[in-house]
Amino acid sequence: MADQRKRLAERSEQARSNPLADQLKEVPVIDMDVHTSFRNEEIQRDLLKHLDDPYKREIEYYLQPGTSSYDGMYPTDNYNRDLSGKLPTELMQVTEPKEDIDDVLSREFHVDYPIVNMLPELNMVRQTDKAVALNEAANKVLVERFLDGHDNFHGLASVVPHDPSAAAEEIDRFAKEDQICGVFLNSTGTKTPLGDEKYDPIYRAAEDNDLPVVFHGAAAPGLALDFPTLQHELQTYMANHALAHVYSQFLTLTSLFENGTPAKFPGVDFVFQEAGIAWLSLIFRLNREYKQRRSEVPLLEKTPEEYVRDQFYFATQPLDEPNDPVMMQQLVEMWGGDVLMFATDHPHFDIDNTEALLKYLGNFSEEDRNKVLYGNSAEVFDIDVS
Amino acid sequence: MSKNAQNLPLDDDEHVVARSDELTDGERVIALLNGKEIGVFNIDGELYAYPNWCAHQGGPLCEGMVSGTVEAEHDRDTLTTELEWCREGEILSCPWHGWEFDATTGDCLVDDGCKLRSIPVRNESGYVVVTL
Ligand code: FES
Repeated sequence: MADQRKRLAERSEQARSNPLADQLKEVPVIDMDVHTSFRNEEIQRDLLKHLDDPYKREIEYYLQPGTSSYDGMYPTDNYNRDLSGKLPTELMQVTEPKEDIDDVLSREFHVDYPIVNMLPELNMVRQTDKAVALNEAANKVLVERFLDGHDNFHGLASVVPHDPSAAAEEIDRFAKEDQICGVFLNSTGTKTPLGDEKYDPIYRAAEDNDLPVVFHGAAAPGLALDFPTLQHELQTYMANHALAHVYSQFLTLTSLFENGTPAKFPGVDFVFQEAGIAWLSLIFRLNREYKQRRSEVPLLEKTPEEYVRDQFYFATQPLDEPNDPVMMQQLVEMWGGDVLMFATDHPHFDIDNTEALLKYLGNFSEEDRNKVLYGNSAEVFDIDVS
Repeated sequence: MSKNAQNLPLDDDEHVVARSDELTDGERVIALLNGKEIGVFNIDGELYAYPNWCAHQGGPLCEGMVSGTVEAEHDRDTLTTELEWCREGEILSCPWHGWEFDATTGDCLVDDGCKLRSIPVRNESGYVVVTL
């Protein structure tokens, strides 16, 4: 049984009042990566309302105590992810919008506007029909349980890569919801890299509906498919987790450029979550490759870096940790107000405190600092923070 | 000398945080003293106290799990590595990101710069007394 804590270990009120916290008092912080505890029984029971047999029956079966399968509905690996309890993957269970998201994030991390994704991790579900059905049910639960009645909340509608036309229809359907502000894809377990032209219906639908596409790096099911050595030959979750997010984002970002996706769909903003920012050095390498081999990628009309500064955004979380904090400051300044967006990753163990990011923004103009804390997210996800 | 509920003769900077028989081996209390939270641990009959604040991102360190850790020894001749679960009951892991601390010395196992400030604590007449 996984560790299912009800509450995040929170600071005392005294610890929460500090000089960094004071600077955040008047700033409307947007947190663009907030998860729900998708496998929690309450959420699984909600899914049932939106499913038909046989998938409804399947979830019902696995929700009974004492069923015979090792991991029930959703296959996983056998890493000691929770470090025998030292560091649970989920620091708390997130099932209630007010208590588990709004209260915790505003109290602890100064967040005013959470952008929630369900993180269903369905890319490796074998049958297309089942993956599409579970994913649609997850989006309905997102709207009903987490967005309705919570005006400061926004949500990302998930899509699965199995059937890009079905994904496009899903985007059309959920774009009609006021608080849905983007499309969410897990970067792992996609089989074909996400820039491939077979996914163009997804990007076209996002552009038609004026929604950004968000790629979530993850040590999720499917890593074994994309990077078999990583999943089968590395020994520890330390190594697996260090590489999973950046590998999958490396692949996704490169694939978007080799296929010219940002040039095909200039109205789409591409957003990357959960791999930190040190890996963005890849963009400089892509610049060089582009300049040497432009004829292979003729759709591109400018350097990858220029596309990035126009159309791409990156979550700061998890903050990278050079031993000399000045180096982190330099990294943040390299990309700064152009592309960075604050995120916590609540409730997972690589959660970031807003105060920890703020430490690196000392040299920023107020305008650029605010872009990172909320401005870029407000613009890309069309959120009114006034 | 200050007055306190237990009628102990204490200086102004001394504070009772628990009865000694409440803070038994393996237990901890977190007390709010002068606006600062202090975690007090009983490990093998010895008392240790530290601020409830983690130098990493400010998390409530003293609320984390107390358990052991793993150490390894590599034998260059046989090229084998032996793992040992050790220090059970002495290693405190921060509840936010898992940084490990030796709760008997305050040493941080992953960053030498983050040693915890030890706060004096003692048993006195059946009470646990912290000196700030
Ligand atoms: S705040 Fe303690 S490990 Fe991060």
